[in-house]
Amino acid sequence: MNIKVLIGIIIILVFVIFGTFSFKKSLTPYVSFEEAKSMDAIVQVIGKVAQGESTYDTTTHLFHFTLRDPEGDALDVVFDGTKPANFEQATDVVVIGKYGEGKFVANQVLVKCPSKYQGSEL
Amino acid sequence: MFLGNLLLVLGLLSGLFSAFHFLKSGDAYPKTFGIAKSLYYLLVFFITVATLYLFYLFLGHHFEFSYVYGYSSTDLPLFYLLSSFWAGQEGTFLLWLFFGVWLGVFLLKKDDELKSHTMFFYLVVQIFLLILLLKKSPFELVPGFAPEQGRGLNPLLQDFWMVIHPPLIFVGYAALAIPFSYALAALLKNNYKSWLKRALPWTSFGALFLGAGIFVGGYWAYKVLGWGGYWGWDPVENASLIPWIFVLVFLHGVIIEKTDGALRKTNLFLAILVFLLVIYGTFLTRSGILADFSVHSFTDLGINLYLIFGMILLIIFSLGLLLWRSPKINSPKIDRNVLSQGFGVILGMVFLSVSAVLILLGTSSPIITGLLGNPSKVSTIYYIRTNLPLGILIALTLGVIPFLTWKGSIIAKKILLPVSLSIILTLLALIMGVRSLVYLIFICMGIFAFMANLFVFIRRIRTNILTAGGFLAHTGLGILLIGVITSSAYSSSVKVNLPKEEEKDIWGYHLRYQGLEEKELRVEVSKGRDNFIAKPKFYYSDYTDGVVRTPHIDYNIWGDLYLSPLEIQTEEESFVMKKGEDIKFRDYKIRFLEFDMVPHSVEGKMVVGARLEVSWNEEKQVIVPTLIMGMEGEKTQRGAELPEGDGLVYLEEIDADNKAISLSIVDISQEASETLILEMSRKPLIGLVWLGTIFMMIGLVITWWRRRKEAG
Repeated sequence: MNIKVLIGIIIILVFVIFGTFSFKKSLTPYVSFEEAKSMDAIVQVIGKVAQGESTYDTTTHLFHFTLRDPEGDALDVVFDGTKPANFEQATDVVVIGKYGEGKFVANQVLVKCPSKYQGSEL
Repeated sequence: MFLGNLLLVLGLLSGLFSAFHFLKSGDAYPKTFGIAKSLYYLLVFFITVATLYLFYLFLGHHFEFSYVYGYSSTDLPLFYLLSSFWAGQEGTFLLWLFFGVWLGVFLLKKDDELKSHTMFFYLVVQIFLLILLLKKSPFELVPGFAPEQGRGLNPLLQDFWMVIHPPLIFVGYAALAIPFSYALAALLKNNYKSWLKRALPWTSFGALFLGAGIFVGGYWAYKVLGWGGYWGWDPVENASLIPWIFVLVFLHGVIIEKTDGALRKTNLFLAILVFLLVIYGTFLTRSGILADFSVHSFTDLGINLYLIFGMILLIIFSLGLLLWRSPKINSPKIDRNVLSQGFGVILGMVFLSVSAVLILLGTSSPIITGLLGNPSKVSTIYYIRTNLPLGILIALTLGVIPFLTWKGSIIAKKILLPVSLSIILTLLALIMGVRSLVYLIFICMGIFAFMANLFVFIRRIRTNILTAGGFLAHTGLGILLIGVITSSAYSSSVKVNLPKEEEKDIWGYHLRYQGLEEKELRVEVSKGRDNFIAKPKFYYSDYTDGVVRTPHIDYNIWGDLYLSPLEIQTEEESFVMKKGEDIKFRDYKIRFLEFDMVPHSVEGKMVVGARLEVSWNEEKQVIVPTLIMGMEGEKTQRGAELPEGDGLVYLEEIDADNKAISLSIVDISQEASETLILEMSRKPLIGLVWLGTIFMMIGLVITWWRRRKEAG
């Protein structure tokens, strides 16, 4: 067999396996608060944050907020990071992270603001 | 409404007739070509007038138009007022179409046997955009009375880079429809002699603009958003990155076809694929399908059906045509050595394609997993993990290619210098603190790619600068890759509490927070002789109904100092009071008069206000802080300012049974003590990212110039 074709096949095969593996491993499913509390995996939850229900702890530099879903369930979230630029006007807040020790530890907080970014490409 | 939409309908009609005549003219009916051309100019005319009309509506503050109302206001400076045009989806479709029809005018100027059919396919694309635009027109009126004032433009978008970002992207998108049309015309006519030569300048042009648009967007995110990065792997960003990577693949495939005559089918496929990916990206970001997975929730505009239908039609037709013609296209197989430059180029194409496909898979993950059940997206780690090894392989390929001959041998003598220089610089990185093996390899390859291509570039400047574009772009990519690693993997950050007028020492910097002045914070930063006043922005915006924060960046060759304000903690006093009672705050006497119930609840929310009588210096005034309570228990407070502007009163809670309220008053006077919480980060060598980008863009300009000359 042609060595070049062989190289090509090997490269593609390696990346297909590697890609699928990474893809599966980094999937973060959307779950309810209840499910998030019982799962030992990185998941994604969505909810609303009421004004006054987010505080920034100046000693630990952690950002705390309470996420609420339409069923009335609440989830305490702690985030070691910057408060997103437009957190206050969010209609929904998406949090990616893992539950542990009574709190949902967020790796990433996404703020959703309809009409605000609508149209801007980035 | 009438005039704007009429222009669009007239545009659509001329476009349709023009397309029909272009198709009919082909070779057989050269006479109808003139008619088609005139009709095309008519389309250009209508779209241009519609565009100018929308600008006119913005400049005249015609808030009876809901698009003008939604994205502008009378207090916007002229520059931002003009940019409101493309602040929303409707306007960006018009902008895209405007660039599209005008590029078509230049396309018409070149005489070519494929011209009629190319114009036909090109028009199909414009008509598709026009239909989307008609479905979601910027010329709709606000129902009822015309508002006095518009909603304004999002303060985050009021930035020079954000103003130019959408036009750059859409010039790119518009241009990439041209190689697509040429490829389809060539397939339809089964004539592959000239399409590539004709399509090439447009491809380089599109790659240049789309690339510039992507990087400008990244720079804006870094400068304005304050999270410290420039790329977040968000679907909106990926949607333009994926077609761009494939344009680059295509530009390299062309080199093979031009020298060896091979890869003919691949190039046809790539020209088609690039534009299909532009459309797919538009679908991803405009349909609302990723609404729950992206920071930028592009809501469903009701154009989904049209978008999906149009996209599927384009995919089936173009790929179907390619498959049907494919057996007849004769593409010679050229067998070159593994050590040939040609093989290196193909290898680079494979790596780039794999990277783009992986990003495409990740971006589409909610759709892919949605088909299997529970839609979920991949975390950003996925993109980083998969692209890291590809980045290394791409850099290695870039570095080796200049030392290979086209026929297949390695010029071993010349490779020694860049290799040894790379190793020395990598050792330097090791001494500077880079310890991870992967990052060391990455940096080493980046330096190698940079060095290797820089030498060739310098040599080419002297011989033939037109052939130097690629090498300059590769030099830039090498620099960019180094910058990506140093600025992200070796970024350090710390959060500092800065009580007003107290000096703090961090990393050898003396920091002193001086207070808030006109929407800007003043932070004195000094280190040795170097000192400056950082002015990050921090203010409340009515538009976003929240605090807007913008970092201060101290640009530096060795790395930026990035100061991002997080919070300001102020003194706050709480009071509980019953109806008729008084409280004292500073020199104010505040009495709770009564509740101020707003009879109409807004969207199921209850709005309660407390009428407070404020007495001071023998004057009296009533202020009404309000509390808005939603169905799910969420509260929104609208504070009221004290008469002298030195305090903000918030209604925290109400107790209707006891006719009591609890208030909090935030002291915002000059004497109030406040603490700024600031995130301070170092971004080592982040300037390399922008420097690399500029090199890549200049490289693309040179390539474009070369291809333009070749096309004649």
